[in-house]
Amino acid sequence: MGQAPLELLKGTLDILILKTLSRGPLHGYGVSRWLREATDDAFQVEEGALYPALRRLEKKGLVASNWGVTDTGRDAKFYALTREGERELASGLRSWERYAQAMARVLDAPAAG
Amino acid sequence: MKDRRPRAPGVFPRFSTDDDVDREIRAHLEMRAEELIAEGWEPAEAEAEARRRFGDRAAIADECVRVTRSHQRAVRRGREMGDIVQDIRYAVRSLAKAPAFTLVALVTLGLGIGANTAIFSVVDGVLLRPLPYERPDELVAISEVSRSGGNMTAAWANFRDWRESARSFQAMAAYSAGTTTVVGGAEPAWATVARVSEDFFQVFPVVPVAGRLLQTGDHQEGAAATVVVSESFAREVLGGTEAVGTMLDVFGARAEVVGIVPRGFDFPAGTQVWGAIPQPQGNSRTAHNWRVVGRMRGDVTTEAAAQEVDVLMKRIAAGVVGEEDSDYLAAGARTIPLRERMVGDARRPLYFLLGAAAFVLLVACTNLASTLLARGTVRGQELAVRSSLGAGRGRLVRQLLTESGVLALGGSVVGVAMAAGVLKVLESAGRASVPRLEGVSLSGGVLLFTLATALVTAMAFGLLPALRSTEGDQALALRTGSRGNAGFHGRTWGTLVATEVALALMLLVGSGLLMRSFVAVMSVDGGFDSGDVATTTVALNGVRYPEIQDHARFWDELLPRVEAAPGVAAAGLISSRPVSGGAPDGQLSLDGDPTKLGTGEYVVASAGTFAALDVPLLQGRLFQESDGPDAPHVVVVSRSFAQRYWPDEDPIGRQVSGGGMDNFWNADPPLYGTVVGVVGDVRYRDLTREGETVVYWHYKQRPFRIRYGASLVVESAAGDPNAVAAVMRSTLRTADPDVAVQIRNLDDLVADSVAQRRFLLLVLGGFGAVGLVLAAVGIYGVVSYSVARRTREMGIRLALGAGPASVRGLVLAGALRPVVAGLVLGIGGGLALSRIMASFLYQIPPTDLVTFTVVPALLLVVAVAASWLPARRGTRIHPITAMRAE
Repeated sequence: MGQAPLELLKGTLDILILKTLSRGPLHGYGVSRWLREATDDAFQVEEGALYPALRRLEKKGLVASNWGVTDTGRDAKFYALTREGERELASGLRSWERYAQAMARVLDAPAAG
Repeated sequence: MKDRRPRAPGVFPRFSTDDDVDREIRAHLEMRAEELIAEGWEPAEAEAEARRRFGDRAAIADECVRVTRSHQRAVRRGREMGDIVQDIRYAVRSLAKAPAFTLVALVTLGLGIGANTAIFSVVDGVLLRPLPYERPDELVAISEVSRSGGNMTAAWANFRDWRESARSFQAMAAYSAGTTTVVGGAEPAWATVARVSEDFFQVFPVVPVAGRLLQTGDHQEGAAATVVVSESFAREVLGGTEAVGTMLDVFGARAEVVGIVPRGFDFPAGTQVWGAIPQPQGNSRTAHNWRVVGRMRGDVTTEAAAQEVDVLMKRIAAGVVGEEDSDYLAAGARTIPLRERMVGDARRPLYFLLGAAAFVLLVACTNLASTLLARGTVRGQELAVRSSLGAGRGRLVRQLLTESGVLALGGSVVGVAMAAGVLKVLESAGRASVPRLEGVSLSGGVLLFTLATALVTAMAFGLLPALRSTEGDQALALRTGSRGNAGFHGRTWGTLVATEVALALMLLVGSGLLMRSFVAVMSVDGGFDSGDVATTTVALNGVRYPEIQDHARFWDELLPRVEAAPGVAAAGLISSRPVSGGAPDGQLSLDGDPTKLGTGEYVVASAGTFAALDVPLLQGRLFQESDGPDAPHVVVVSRSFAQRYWPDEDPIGRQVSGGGMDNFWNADPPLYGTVVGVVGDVRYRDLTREGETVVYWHYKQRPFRIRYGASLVVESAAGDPNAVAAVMRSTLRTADPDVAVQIRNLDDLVADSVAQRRFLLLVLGGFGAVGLVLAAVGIYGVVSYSVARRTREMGIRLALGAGPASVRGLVLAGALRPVVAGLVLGIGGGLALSRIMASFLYQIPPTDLVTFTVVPALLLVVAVAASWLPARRGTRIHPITAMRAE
């Protein structure tokens, strides 16, 4: 990896979780593993932090949970995106893109002098 | 029925929340460790690494539990709200399905709640509402207290000393109000006017809308006469704010209007014109002419202020020389909040009516409770079904209570609408006897009261039926298809009917006692005949009649003209009208002996007065033409006066002084009047006070007391007082166009004098009638229901040969048992409670046998009728049909 881990910006964890769950229901560990692999472990985040976040999303009605069985026969709590969660994700992505583009424009501008 | 809808899965998990979190975290750690092992870690290290990467497990677990718990709470709350909404929807639907029941219930509740709302509005507006003056809690009324403990108005010298010495007050003022003619506007106006002392507008710091208030200079001896007028007087009589500077003839002088006070200020008693009290006022400690109002300092309690003035008055009284033996010398002083003074004797009747209104509500509640109970029984099946589907008893009770709540809210809407109407009636009925009644309205506080009443009501009439209807084995009810547990209710119903009858009886007993008292008062012979008499106050413009004898001369000319007018049988003048609170009374000396003292009311009259009022001459003669100003002064006394001071002696030729009541009071020796006649007693205070000692003086000889106004009394030859109104008006106009004529029939004044009794009777009588109707409806409902339930049994009895009459008798006997119990209970309660009415009664004892016989009998008749109708229906159907029932 070589590079120093990034600090996760506030509020972005929610978006990442929603995005992960948009691919289909997953248990907490599955979410954490997918995040780790998709970002190449770039974020410095305690794996446990995911769980309160999941429950907060559940409280907001963006995800729903249920106990189920994994492919390997293990009991696990599965989370799925609700319709409201899908909407939230879409709007989150739009604003994130605008944010990123704006940042990029500023940072790409040629240095003065 | 969604009571058992599936729970949201993750929120209310299979395990406890702690367990749920713990399992989830453990699963994570295990899977993580497995992954690490697959990557080549040693199992023990893999587990440690998994935990390290997870972070603070305990803190995370706590956080998870916290979030989920709060989520669960929110969901539960939402579900409960949903349940309530659902209960309400369900209640409305089931009420709509029984429109007759709902209508009766709403009207019943409306009557109960409406009665309470209306009376509470009056209590709130009259007794509780703060006075509309600045910092009203600082305002107190101060009066002298006689040796017998009664209130007296203050003597000027006493007031002056209080004002100078009492430390508890920011300001203190004396005043005296009356009605008189005010000349200077487009027409002579009949107005309420007040003379006030220097600090009056410090006690009531209003800001004039034009000009200025009365100032120290206006109150000084010899100052030019000035007045301030009310905004409405300026507008209606003087034509607007330009009124400042106008000259008015009032208080016997031509006065300049110097200012206009703002709308809303009319203390005392609707005053329109305020002027200064003329100075000097003399040093008498027993000439009780002034009411006193004070504004206490902010840090002083009423008790402390009262104490100070009382002690002060006692000290003053102890030092009085010359008047120390007078019955009219104060024994102390009494200080009460001004609001209490203004409410006066309306307090007790109003609180009494509020209590009575609560009884009406109780009758309505018991009525509804029994009806709901019947309905609950009819709905036994429905409740049983719901119960078998899993609704717990608590849930069913809540549903039934919601139904009562919906009814109560609906009933309070009906009630408020009724109250608005009732309030209009009360306002016009109570105007003459209840102060501050104008402006009484359904305020926010009142509506809050209504809402609270409605909720308490819902609990009161809903809880018992709700508990009763849901008790017992619901499953059994469902299986047998019977109407639930109807059998249990006999005794509960009996209790409710008995309670209702008892309450209604007490209301009716109260109304009965008031009605009998009212009849007793109205049949009192006041000592005068009012039916054919019209009267008007005549207040002459003092500017044009400066001398006291000028007033006598005016009447000398007026009276013969009125007497000669067509349709007039007799005419006279009188300084105080009968049944109008009494004539001024004072101490006088008898038989030419200044130490032989008596008390008497001082009335100025003419020869024709006695004829016009049909007051009989019992002995001697009346006034006659020869009793002129220069002839020896003569008096006519009332029978009670003669009997009290000259029992067993001939009163004719005896001597009476005028006391301090006229301009001869300080003549030395006093100028006595000689008794020339004795007339029948007339009730000057009110119809219930008998035996007043009255001394009549002749207006030609002692006109002092008529200079601010006297009443012309005219007897109609045709017996119709309205027939002489026109000639009174035209004769007066000819005699002096500056007199504002206010003609009233004497009968109306008599009616005014019993206005408070009539008001009380009207309201309590209304409550009694409502109670009676509600009780009848309640009994009818219960009996109807029990007949419906026993149709089959009755059918069998009829089929077995019992006569319809005997079957009806059976039903009636069953129905009337609780009624009789209620009557006994009500008579007991009535006897216990009627004592608090003693002060409202006249010549009727609170335990009046007639009332306590007639009222229960009336109720019994109504109860029999209410039971008989459904009983008859029950025995009219064919036995076979009856037996097929159910």
